[in-house]
Amino acid sequence: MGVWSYIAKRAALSTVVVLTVALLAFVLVRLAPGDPAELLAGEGASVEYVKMIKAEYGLDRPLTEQLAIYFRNLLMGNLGFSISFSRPVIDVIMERVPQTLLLAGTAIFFAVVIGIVLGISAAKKPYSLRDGLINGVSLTLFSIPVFWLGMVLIFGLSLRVRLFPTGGLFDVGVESNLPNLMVNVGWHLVLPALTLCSYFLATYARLTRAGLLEALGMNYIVAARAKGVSEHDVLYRHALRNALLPVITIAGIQIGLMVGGVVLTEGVFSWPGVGSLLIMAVSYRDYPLVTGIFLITAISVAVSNLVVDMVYAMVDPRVRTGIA
Amino acid sequence: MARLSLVGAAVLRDKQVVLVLLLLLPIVAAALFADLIAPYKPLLTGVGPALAPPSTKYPMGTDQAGGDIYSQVIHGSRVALLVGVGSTLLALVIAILIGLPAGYHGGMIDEILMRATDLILSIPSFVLIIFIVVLFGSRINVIVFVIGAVSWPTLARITRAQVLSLKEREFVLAVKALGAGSSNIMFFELLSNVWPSIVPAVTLQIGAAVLTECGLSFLGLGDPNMSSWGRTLWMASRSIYAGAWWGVILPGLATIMTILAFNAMGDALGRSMNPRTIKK
Repeated sequence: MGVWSYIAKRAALSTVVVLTVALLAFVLVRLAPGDPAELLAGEGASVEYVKMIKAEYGLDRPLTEQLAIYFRNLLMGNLGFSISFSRPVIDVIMERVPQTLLLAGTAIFFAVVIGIVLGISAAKKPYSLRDGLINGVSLTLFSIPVFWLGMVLIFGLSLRVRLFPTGGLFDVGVESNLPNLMVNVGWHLVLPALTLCSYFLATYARLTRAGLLEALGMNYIVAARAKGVSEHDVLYRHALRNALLPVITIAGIQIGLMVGGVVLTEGVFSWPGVGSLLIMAVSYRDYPLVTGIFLITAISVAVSNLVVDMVYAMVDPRVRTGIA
Repeated sequence: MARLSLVGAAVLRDKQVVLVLLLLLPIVAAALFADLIAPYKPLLTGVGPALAPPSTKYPMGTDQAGGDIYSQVIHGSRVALLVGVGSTLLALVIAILIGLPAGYHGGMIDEILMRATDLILSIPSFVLIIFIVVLFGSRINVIVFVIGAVSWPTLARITRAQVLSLKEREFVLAVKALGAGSSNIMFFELLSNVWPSIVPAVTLQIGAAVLTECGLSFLGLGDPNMSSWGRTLWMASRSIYAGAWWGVILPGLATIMTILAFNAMGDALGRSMNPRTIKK
């Protein structure tokens, strides 16, 4: 099996995921208590508007026809109309995507780097005091609700010691000057990125440690040591390469689980991304917006899983040849 | 039985497990005797002045509505344990019903069940949970059900992997030779041997479910009729600007202690229930 047929197979799988999620959203809205027309309109919609929605989505027609209308709308990028923003759902979401990518990207980058370093450090001397400490710290970070850590950081570093802003993307008045704006955004990014990073960190540290310990027990390591490869090269050139592969896979699988951390972190720091938009949509009971965010998040997770699969296929020949 | 007591002894010899049990003891006690321990009704407002710092009368201070935070934390342990344990039990049942046949039968059945598992795993679960709770209402049984219904894939994968390696063993061949049917083999012979590898993942899942419930009620999506730690922390997130640190720190420590206890339990059990490390 070549790289391309492998990737084609994974792409087909991602498409199935997206279609299933879309179907799930359709079914859930119709299973929910209450009139689907009112759910599709959003809370606070006028009677006329609900009537219009009923006609537009064909809610008085059979379910199969409703499903056809629903999928046709989705394919055209029509996710409905947000009543609280008086704009199409897709536009409201899209203008918030860059901020979320900035925050999540920064946090994941530092979490991967620090996590791998901690994992290596722990695996060098397994079951030592240092290993125990690293394990303890990552377990604790993993158990702290992100929103709590965020609040503590705000209280300590924004309110008590006025080092960082309490939230937002930038201060009013810096937009005109680009270098100033970038520095200001970076300043606002520190605390939310730190919060989110600590949540992701534990996963990477533990995966790297487990992967390294497993790799170090393999025969090729014994062979490398026997032929006189230095301990440093055994660890970094032989074991680490193989240990990082599961880190990539699990990191891919966990993207979906990590979204929750992003939502709560954005909420605490009023970071104007998709996560805080979801929180607003929930509090306004803006059902079309909540549904839209659910679909867009699921699609982006499916796409990033696909990218991880592609990277994996290129890095590890065993995947595409199916030997493993 | 001999094996079970061997495992039990190995587990209790692990200091981390004992430490974790000591951490969980006050939480379980608080949940069981909440009405006796808590001095005030947890959802009652105006039992004291607004934003009073901790004192002998209000051990963890009060929130901006004059509610007693200590009483909220004590009662909050109920929601935490109910959601944590309840949703995990549901997830466990689904995981076993999916993982056992997938691993045992293999072939098409395995392919279909595992593709379904991968599918659920790739849906962003927290957003799905929010979506469902918004549509179906913030009631405690909805929350327990939804968290359980999206949390089974990891457990199902572990069950399947374990069954795959177990089904080739001699004892399975022996009961097959005795004429046991496949459901008999799955639910009696295999299931009892799958436990050691599922139990650590189950305790980790309880921790994750408690965390999820806290997140939900922090967003105002918790059951409005029950006191939850996330809800207390949500109230506190508004009052830190007035300098009320107690609403954040003290309930937060209770939350972290509980989640950490379950995570550390999973961590320790993963080590001590691993048959390769059990020492005579």
